[in-house]
Amino acid sequence: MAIELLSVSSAYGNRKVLRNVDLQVASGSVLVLIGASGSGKSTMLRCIAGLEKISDGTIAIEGQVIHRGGETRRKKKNDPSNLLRREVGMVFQQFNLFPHLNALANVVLAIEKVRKMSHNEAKVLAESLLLRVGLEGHMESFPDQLSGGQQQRVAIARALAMKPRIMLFDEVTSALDPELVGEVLKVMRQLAADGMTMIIVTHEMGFARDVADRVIFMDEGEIVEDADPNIIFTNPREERTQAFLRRLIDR
Amino acid sequence: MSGDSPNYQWHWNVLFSHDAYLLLSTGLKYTLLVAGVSLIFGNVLGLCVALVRISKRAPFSQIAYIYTDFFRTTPALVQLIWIFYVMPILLHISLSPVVSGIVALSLNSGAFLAEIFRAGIQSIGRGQRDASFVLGLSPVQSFRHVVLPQAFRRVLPPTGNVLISLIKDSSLLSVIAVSELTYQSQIFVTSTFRPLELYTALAVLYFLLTYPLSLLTSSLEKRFRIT
Repeated sequence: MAIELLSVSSAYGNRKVLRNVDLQVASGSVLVLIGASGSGKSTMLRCIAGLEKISDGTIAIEGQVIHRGGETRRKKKNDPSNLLRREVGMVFQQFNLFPHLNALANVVLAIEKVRKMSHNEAKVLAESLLLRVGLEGHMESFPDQLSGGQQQRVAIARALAMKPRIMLFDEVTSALDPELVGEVLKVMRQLAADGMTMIIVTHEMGFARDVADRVIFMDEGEIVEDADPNIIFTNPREERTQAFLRRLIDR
Repeated sequence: MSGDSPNYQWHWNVLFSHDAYLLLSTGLKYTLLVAGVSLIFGNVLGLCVALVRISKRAPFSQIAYIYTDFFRTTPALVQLIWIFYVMPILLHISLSPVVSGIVALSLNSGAFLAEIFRAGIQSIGRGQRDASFVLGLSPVQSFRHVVLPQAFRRVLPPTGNVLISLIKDSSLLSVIAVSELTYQSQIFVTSTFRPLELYTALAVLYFLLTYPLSLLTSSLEKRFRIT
């Protein structure tokens, strides 16, 4: 089991953002999370990545618990949770590229400093990753010289550089102009075909239907419905799911 | 009294005498010394204080806050006079005018720089730290390779301004008889009775010192691609 969430809750002060979430994600599968803003989907990704603390429950990766409810964020360097953290890669809606480094340097940084490769080896690996996402001609470009779609692809290459076993995508196309969305989805489709375990939060329903092995609808911090993409989009079981999808189509 | 100026005879040659050269070169030396040394100490102090404030560790963070608030809100002249006249009495030490001047200017600029650095560092958005975290960079690595380079570029323009202010504020040290440019000019006026030429030249000299700095700051901003 690649990821397992057991009774996970997360709170912002008094507000419960995640309520008793149970979830299992099999290796190599693609899970898509849909739901309204504030439903807890991004929070769930951030908790898995370790960016946010959980107040209750446990999150386990490959069978080993890496986050426990109630823990503080500071842990020792060699704590297993820190080592396992590297198995999880994340791509953000706002790209979060390092603006003072060019595309190649963005990808090289973590390879060199975290995976401790030599600079030359890191460069070679970074170049191959940028090639893989279709950015051969732009390795020396800085983020402000790249389009949104190109920046997001650099962000994906950068995350892949850490050789994660799980990739989290938090609304990665929501900040892009429509004509740039396709190039990013193409990279994601390829990743899925290559067997990466992926959890994707997205509003791209067509993409979700194509790529997902499973779709989960979340509302108010809970998993409301969990079904096959072919079923959930055409014949959702739950009332709340139906209401959400109807609102989406009516736009 | 109006009507004085038309009858004044400008004698610019007073500036080009050997005495002028000696006095003004000493003055320049002290001005640059005081401003330069204060800048170095001020930067170190400012960075330390900024980091302490960001860490939020009590009571150090509160002490740092009191320091920056006090030294930014009281006049530099008052700080200087206090350090030169009052502090030695309280602490039973005696400081030479130059040292007092450097201490005062360092503390003063340090407070402004602390705020500039703190704001610069904290302006690096959460997204940058999130990305560093998920890539596995340690907090130190993240600070060194992601936050600091960006913060450095952001603080360059205001830091350039602090340096320019330091050169101007060095003139305050004339009140405690440090032989910097303003004091030297005042002395020279008493012996030549040429205040208009000398004070005009003094103003031009300060401009010549600060203007290249502002040009340098602009060119550094362009080089580091500050958008």
